[in-house]
Amino acid sequence: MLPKHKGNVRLNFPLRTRICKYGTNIMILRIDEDPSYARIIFSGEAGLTDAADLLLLLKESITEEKDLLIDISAAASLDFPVLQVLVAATMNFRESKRQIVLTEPPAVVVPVIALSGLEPFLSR
Amino acid sequence: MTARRECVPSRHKNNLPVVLHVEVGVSQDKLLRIYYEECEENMALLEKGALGLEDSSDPELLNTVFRAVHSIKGGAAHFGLAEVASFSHSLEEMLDMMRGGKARVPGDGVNLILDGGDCLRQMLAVSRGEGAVDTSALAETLRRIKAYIAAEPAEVKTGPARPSEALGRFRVVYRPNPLCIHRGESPLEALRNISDRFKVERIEARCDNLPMLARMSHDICYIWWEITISSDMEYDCFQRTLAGLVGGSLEISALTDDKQPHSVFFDQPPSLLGSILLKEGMVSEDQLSQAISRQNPPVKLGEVLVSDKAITSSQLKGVLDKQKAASGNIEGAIVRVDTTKLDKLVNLAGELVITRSLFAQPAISAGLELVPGFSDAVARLERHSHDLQETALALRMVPLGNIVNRFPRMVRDLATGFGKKVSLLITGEATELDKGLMEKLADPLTHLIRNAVAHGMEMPEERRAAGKPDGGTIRLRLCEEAGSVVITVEDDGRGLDRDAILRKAAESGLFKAANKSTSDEWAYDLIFMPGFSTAESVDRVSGRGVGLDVVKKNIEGLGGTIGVVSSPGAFTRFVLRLPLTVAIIDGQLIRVGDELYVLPLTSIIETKRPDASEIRTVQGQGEVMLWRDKCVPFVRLYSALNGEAWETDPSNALVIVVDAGGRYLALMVDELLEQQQMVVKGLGGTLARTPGIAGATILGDGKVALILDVSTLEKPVHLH
Repeated sequence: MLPKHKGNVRLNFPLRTRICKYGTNIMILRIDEDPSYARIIFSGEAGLTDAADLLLLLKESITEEKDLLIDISAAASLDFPVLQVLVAATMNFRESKRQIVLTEPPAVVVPVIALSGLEPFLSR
Repeated sequence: MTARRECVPSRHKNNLPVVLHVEVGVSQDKLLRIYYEECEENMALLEKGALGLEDSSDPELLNTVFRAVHSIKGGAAHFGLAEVASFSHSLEEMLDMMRGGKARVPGDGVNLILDGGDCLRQMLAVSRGEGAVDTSALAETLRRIKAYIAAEPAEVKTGPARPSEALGRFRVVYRPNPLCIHRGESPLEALRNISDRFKVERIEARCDNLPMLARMSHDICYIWWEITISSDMEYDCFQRTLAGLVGGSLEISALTDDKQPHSVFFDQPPSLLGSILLKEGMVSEDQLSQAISRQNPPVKLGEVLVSDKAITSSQLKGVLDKQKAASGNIEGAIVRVDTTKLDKLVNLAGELVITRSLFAQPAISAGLELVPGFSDAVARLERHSHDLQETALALRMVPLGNIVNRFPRMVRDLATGFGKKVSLLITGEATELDKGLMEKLADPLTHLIRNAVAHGMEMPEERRAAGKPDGGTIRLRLCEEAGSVVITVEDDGRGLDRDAILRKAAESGLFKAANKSTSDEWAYDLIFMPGFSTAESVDRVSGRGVGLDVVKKNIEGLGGTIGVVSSPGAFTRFVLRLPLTVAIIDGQLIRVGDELYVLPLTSIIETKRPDASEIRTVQGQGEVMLWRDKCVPFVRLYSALNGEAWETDPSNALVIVVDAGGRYLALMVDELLEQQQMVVKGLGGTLARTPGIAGATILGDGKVALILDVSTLEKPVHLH
């Protein structure tokens, strides 16, 4: 069960949270008390390498029946490859009846034009 | 750079976190190397497009140049090459202004594009750690670019005005090139360009091509867009402008008031069903437009066309297969591979052929062929190793266009420097040659073309006086003939001056004296002698007498030949013949005495046992053989190779007539053995340039045989 997302999730880490830096701009939060979901936080300028990291993470690491929270609210920018992986992740998770939640991106992060048509995948 | 990163991918069954070390990340070095290779291709496109603009007003040429600069800029920004990105941005801005304004770019504009390209090339070289930037030229070019941008009237950016005041509406389906991310290009930038340039009414991203995560690649673009745009441009102008803004595939429909498309345009190589159907002539534009207007997802276009009876189901299936081939498998269509890996593969394939022979011959000698299935297995092994070898060699073949594309610019600059008018016509750029050969061919070809401009071509007034047009033409023809690549460089200039060549050669002490019977062919061959030059003065491209002899040596070093024919006042034609590859040859094994040698099969014209009457002696010059109404030099191989022979009487021996670069030689041998494919091994060191020997090969029984180089084996008798 996903908690209701409010504001900057990074300020509200639950206890006994394991944080692992993954790649340059991706952090994964795993919460020992509640293994039902994982949280991925983006920071900085997320580009091609981050897309590769994220995809690898989704393919190889998040293999359990976990819901996923992807927090892109703190990202300085998201390049197209990252956006595409996020969209694909959303579609895939939905098909497997798992939940995936993306935080709403700041307007400056992703150009509005790129999101047109992607809203169904990116909205909370 | 590949990074080793830690992650917590899963938990061990005792619920302890398991930290894995995962090799992740794309090698930045590799990507950068790919970027530089693509920059070379883009620079070639830039120059070709810019040169084309001198004689053509085709706006697509300007679009090509724009896209090339745009790609260089995108990659530069991606890899943090800030100066390259900044300069290419200025160049791109200027090109955009040219594109939005005049269809024909003035001569100064072409010069500016070319100069800008030169600066970009220098900056890219410096970023690779090679060469240096001419900072004054860079500053001057940048100043001229900025002046051009500042001087261009702002209204040209909007393109030609429509006759009517009403805005036109267009439906655009934009499918980025699937490899665009890999190249450092962003579809979002293309979309931004579109929204900056046009009024976008609606835009919708389509995700139906996105695969499952397990099959997804992070650097392939799967998403495509449908866009509705308002513009005051005419349809043609709109599609040209849009094609210049974005790469990939575009499908543009002009929407009429009732929102029905009335025309369809496909800009890029077809990967869409509609474009393939149009290209194949299966449907008309009207039929396609009507079908598109009635297409209502999830009903697909092909189904509409079948229901319209415009095409049959079987035709649709065929076209869908083509579409799949064109776009569905792009992900795996092109792979860039390090050439050292290719060389290793070719070498290993060659070794496999040798190993197969080493295995099969003793096995057959031992009677194993009687074992059921053994012969079949050997035959299969032979077929597969042969196929593997062929495939490995094919991987090394690259189009000659890769090197000849640089010549138009060189001819233009040289001709301008000399005050001449010269055009270069290139045909057969798609002809392929082994990559190793091609790299070594660039210098000799450059030399021949420089010579053609500097020496071959007359000044305009001289041409006029000779009744020729002011502008001369150099023709560079590339083709494949009987296992060889033939390259012809021909100019329609003044031709070779036989008397001047003989006189200069005599003065230089290259030979003693000519007489009336001296053939043109022989006289022209003198220009390949070291130290020969008829130029009266030394200039920046010629006159030092170092050149054609080096060209000849280089070509012969590649296993090729070069010859020249000329007609005074009409033309000079250099003909180069090169083997397709130097790694493996089809060889004829021959015996001379107790030694085995290999002759390249492609050089053999005929084998025969001559009559004693056919062998004649030319006093003081050696022996010739009468063959097909010709006198051809007769070479006793045992003598030429300082060996021994079983037979010294030609009428008891065998003769092989070979083509040695346009000349024929009759080689006397003791025995003809088998024909087989041989892997050429270089002799290396001081033996590498042994006349008459091209290399060595390992035979099936493990013995080594020398491969003969017929072009340097023996000079024709009359040159002795």
